[in-house]
Amino acid sequence: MKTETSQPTGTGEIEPTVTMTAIPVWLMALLFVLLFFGAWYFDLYGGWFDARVYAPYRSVPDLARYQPNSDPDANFVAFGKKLYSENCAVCHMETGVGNPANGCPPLIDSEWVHHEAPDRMIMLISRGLTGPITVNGKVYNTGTMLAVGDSLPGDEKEKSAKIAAIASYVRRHFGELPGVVKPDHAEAVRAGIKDHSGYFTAEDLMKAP
Amino acid sequence: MTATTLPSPGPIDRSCRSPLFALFGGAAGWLALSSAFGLAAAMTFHNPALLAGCSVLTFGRAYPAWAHLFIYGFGVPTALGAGLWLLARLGRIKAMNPALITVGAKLWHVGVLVGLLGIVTGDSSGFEWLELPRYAAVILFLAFMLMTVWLFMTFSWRAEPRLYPSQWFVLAAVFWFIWIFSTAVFLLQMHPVRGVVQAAVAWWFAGNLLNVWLPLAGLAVTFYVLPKLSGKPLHSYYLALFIFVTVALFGSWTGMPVQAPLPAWMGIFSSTAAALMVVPALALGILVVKTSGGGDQPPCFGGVLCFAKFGAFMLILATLLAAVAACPVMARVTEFTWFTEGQVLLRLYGFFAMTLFAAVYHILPRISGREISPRRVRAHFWLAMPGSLLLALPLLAGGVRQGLRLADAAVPFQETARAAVLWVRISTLGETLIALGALVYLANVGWLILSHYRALLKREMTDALAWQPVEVKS
Repeated sequence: MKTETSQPTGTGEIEPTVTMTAIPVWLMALLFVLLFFGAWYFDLYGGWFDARVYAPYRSVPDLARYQPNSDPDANFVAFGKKLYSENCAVCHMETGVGNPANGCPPLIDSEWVHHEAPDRMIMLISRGLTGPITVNGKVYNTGTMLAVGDSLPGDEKEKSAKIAAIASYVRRHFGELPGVVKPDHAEAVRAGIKDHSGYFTAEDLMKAP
Repeated sequence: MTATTLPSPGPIDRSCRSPLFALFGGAAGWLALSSAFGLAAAMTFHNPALLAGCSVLTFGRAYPAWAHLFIYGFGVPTALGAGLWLLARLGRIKAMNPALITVGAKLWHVGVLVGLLGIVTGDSSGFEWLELPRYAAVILFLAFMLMTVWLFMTFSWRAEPRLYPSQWFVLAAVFWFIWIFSTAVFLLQMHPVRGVVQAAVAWWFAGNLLNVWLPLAGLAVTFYVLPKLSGKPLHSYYLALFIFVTVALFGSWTGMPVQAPLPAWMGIFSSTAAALMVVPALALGILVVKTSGGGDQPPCFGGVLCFAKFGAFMLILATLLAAVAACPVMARVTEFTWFTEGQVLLRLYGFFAMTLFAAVYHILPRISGREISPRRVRAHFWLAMPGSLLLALPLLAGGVRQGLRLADAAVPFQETARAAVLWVRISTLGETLIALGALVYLANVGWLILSHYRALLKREMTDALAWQPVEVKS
């Protein structure tokens, strides 16, 4: 134990000194135990500094879990959006404006998308289209749409579900039509065109409901 | 009332005389006035009609006036005076530019007065512990800077290069106050932040003031007075350093109530920090017991050492209580009840005021050259010590009771409020003792200062009288 000494001040009083005694180990141990539990407690309840998380919620995923979900089909439409981005957006664009220079019609303001029954769209996506087609008063004649739906991976049931999802997204997003296209309905429509080979034409589609 | 004369003050003590007379003397007056406002505020719980005719003494003005006068009237100047003396003594150097420090001290008291007038005329800012209006805050800040510039100069020109722990605490307290006070005034009064951030800033300021600034400023005195008066060296340099670092680090995170309408991380972080404050509290316990304990110590009858020791133990108790109250299970009961108030009052009166009394009773006789009768100090101790316990403990107990009743849906709110009055009554008894103690303190400080001037006057008179015959003769 080393003792520091200090000189008396002018008054003859001796100023206090301090010894170099070490800190007890248990105090350090206690500090680290408390730090551990403090960090654990913070991790559990603190929401990691996110300003949106208020007690009694604990984290952002926790908040999302308690959000009201009024649309039971949201996941199905989101799946359709993903498929649309992968397969359709190349020509029709993410925004649905199409690519008129290459003969690809838009999906926005399209009477084909706004059409009440989904059968034509299911057929169109399944087998593709060739020949002239009139969209919003303009004739598109130079392009051919491939059989995107048929070329999707999966068996007949999965293909139908995927086509229904794409149709649901397109109808909802560009056509502002409520509801979704049921996979069962898509499967039924596809069963009806089983014998048709090659692309559809606009006249073929007009015959469907 | 016999004044025993101490050995004539040395040059260091003489250099501190005028600033310390200004700081301690004014502060003692503000403390007495603050207690009066505290009592007036407490009266509204017992007989709301009694003072209702006088707007100045209604709760909404008397309570802020009490808080303002206690912190800015009494606490800051007394702590600053003690800090100046510690820096001068430990640095073995005369106080730099005492005349300007005195000017700063007087300006400070003017600022406190302006703030008080603002509060009692209804111009209070509405933030707890920062009730003073904007214009008073500016005066206080300028006065503080004027004083602390010379405080810092005194430190940096010191003759003794080695540092004693008290010096770190004084300097940190000075810088901490400049930081938190200017930030809070700027963000709450100059360019008020909006919405929930305002509450967060106010709570941040309160937490830093109560859990960092008070301990830093108070422990500077504790670490000086304890070893000096018990004749032993301070137990451990490293423990003091450990307390310094942990208080500054964890204390500055405290303040946000865990159930406050703030983002969850703030309250959770604060309650974690409050729990971590247990570690410096225990370290302080070791330091106090090892420094001033032991069989050869005379029992405490109310001397200067008793003030300092009691103060340190009350800081430990208040910190442990705050840590317990920070646990979510307890917080659900105690938060926003009398418990919080009791814990804060224990910190203010039990720790801070008692420690500062120790400093003043130790310092003032040395700079005025007059010894104060131990009986006077003891009288103050036996009013202030039981007073602070009687003030805080009933509120702590009553707060738990109140919290449990509030959580019980079967108990009507009116009944809960009425049941709490009993505890407030006991606590007002403590407040009365404290107010009496504050009067004794004012008398003691006033007597020490005046006796110095009386001696000075007497010397002048005898000099003048001794001169006269010579004049006549010539």
